[in-house]
Amino acid sequence: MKFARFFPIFLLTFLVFWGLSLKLGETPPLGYLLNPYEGFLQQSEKKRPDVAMPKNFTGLKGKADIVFDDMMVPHIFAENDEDLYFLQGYVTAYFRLWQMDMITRAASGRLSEIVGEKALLRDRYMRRIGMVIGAEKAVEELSKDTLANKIIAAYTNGVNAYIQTLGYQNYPIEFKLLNYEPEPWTPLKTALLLKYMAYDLSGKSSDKELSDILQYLGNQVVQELFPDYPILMDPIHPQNPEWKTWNPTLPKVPAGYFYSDTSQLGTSIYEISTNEKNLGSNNFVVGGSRTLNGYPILANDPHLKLNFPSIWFQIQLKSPTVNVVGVSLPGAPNVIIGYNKNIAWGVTNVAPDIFDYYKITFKDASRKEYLYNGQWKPIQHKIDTFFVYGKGIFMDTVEITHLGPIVDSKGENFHPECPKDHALRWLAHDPSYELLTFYYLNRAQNLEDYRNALKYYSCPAQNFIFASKNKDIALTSNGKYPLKWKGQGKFTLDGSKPEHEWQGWIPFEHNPYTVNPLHDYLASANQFPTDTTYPYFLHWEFASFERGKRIHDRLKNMYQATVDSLRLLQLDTKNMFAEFALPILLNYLDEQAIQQKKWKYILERWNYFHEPELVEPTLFTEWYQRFHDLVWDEFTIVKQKDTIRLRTPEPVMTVAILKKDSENPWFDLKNTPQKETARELLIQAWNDAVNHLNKKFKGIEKALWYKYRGTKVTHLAMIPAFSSDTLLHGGGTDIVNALGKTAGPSWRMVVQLTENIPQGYGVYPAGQSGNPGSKYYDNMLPIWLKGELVPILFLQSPNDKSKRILSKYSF
Amino acid sequence: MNIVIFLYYLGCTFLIIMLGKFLNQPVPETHWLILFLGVILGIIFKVPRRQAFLYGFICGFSVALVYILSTYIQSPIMTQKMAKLFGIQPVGLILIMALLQGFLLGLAAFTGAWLRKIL
Repeated sequence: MKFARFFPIFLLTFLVFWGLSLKLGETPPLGYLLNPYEGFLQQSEKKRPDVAMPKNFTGLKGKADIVFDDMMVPHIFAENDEDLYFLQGYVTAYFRLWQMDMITRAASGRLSEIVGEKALLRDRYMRRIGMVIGAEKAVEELSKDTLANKIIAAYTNGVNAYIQTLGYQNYPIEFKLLNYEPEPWTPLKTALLLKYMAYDLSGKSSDKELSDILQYLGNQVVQELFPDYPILMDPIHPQNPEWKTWNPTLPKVPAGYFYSDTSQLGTSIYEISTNEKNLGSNNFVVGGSRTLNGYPILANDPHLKLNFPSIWFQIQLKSPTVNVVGVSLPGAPNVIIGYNKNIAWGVTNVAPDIFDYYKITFKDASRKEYLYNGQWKPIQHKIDTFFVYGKGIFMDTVEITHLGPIVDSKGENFHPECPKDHALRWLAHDPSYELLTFYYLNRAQNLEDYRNALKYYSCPAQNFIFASKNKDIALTSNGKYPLKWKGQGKFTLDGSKPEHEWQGWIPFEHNPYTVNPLHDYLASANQFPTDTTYPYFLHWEFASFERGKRIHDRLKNMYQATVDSLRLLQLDTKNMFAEFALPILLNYLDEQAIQQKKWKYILERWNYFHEPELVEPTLFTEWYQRFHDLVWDEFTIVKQKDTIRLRTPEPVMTVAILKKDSENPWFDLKNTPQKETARELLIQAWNDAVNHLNKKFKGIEKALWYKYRGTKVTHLAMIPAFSSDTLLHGGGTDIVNALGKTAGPSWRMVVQLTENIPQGYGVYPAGQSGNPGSKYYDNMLPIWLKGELVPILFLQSPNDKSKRILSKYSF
Repeated sequence: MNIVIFLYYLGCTFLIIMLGKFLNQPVPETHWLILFLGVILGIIFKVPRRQAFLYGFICGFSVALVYILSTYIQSPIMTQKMAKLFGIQPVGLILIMALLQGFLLGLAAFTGAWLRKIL
């Protein structure tokens, strides 16, 4: 009887403890999480934390030191390269393990293991575009190279050495919130990270968008509104007379080139990608003749997603073969952007067309064979397994052709840019050696070393800018470019025709390259690398002219330049599109017909700068966008129950048409009986814009630019409590200070070369630590917001004295 | 209230929990350790079940509160961010955490005391 009464109590007690140790729905195990002795409180970091480094590492072959500075930047000193990369792996994991885990899970389509079914479609898309296939090939290829193999193995061992020290108590907080454990690091994860960067920077395609326009509006519209070279452009490289002497044999444009069989697209509603466009990156260098100290100054600010933790991790690496400082990618060895004693380099994205969709013609409904070169070839099948949290196993069969995987076989709407029954040919499917480029760049002493390092680089193509203490400056739009006929890949291609395949590769020597130009400066802002005299076809669209033009304009007039001159250029907020468009738009704004007339006068006096607390940028942006939407109403097609929103022409094209003819038929609204001109549309757009802003902000005067843009640095898992407030900072898309809603200057660096050690400065809008409980989680954000830079500590020995050194560990 | 037994309760709880603090290494599986500790305390010390619950509750609550506050004073950032995540004030979160530890230790001690009674 006693037992009978006790048993329910015992059971209740056990159930309470057990229930609190379980994840219920999306709620993490509260018993663990709220337990002060092992839950989130363990991630509280003291104001001046001791980095918990072990007293010794069993894996090290020699002596080593790690010095941490006041920004929590590790400076690693080792007696050999293997120890160096081992410690880079260890230290990076110490600060960023969850980020490394999450990004590689996202890349390999394994998020649904953690968050359940809601991530399954995305996971399937990542696998179906061949991310894992590419990473596996890269690992296989790298394993054949002794050097690459050694670096990756050492880095992997370092990460795993850190993971082995962990228990639940010291897991990063995100593991606790999402209730999963870190798993061992592998070389495949490093490859996945690099492929994910390739996806981020090159995994875009206009094939379907343009094919849709071709289908619904015709070839003339495409030719008129989406030209192969834009009407305004200031390309990266000055014209090179050598280009005309190459006379390469280019593939001929096949008959029926405007291929647009989108009849089987199969989706009901599809829209253009919601990713922010035209963010890109900037880099620029001024030669010694334009600087105060007579040596080049180099600057770089890659514009990527602004997240906590940052995509970058600052680090210094020193061994007998290298002494380099800059930023690395958590999950990959080496420094990606930085400098050593002799050179500095930076990167921006080239974004050539290396992501092409090919229409596949199946023999019959069984889909076992497809047409190629007049013959039927068998389809291969790959079965992907997904372990979906809360649901169990999901199997997905991917059809694979010789061109690549068929991403969407059933019209599942994986991605707005992805057509049904098309195989994807993507350069990232091929093995590559990007890792070695950075290994050699980290050690480069001069221009020749820089050029040699670039030969290993494939994808995603980057504009590598360079400066050396020898006073050389150079810029290479570098990567592996498929040899294409002019316009190849602008539309979806025909997978049955061999002539529609990539026809070889542009030789490395023919990649756009400029060294020591007479004007003694170089810059890139993702715009067209060359003018139309360059003999090869890289893509039909690149970033629009605004940033490139503004940077060139300012560099042209820059003399006696200092670090501050380039820093201020990085912060430039002039909107070149507004300068081009606003006088034309205002010209048609009839005062008698508009509301809020005073704002027209204010806009007339605006200097086109997107400062954070101005209303003018808000008004211009809102007004122009509404005008744009009205003009291109023909690009919204209503077909039975479907609404198809086609991609619209670029703003520059729109204003160019207006400038030429305000009564152009495009300005006529298709759903009204009368004929409109641009004048009526501009007035309507103005009135709609001012009413909208008045209502939304309770007075136009309160519609400040930074509030309207609403940029935040968000946590990678979108946890609001771990994200920033709205950033009080200027700039915008297509502006040099390219701060968009979710992306922007993810690392600002300026390096002054000198006779001895370069003086570098850098900052990113986050902090070194991935731990939200650390003061180093976001300590650089206020500095970044002020537009300031932090001097980069470049130590020559672990025994160097500096007030900025926080702690030193010797092993 | 039996002061001696209560002090034993408090001492044991403090020692077991703070052991990690002294060793600069958190004690693993503390969630289950509290169940084990409470049951053992309940079995060893001869007090009525309700009193065992009260002792467990007060000890679990007070030790947790001291631990949380000492951490919070040194570094409040994490607690503030987690409170924001839960949509409450940091003081609320601190109280919830401490009360939860008190309740769990009390419940375990109550079960231990009952077990002692039937053995």
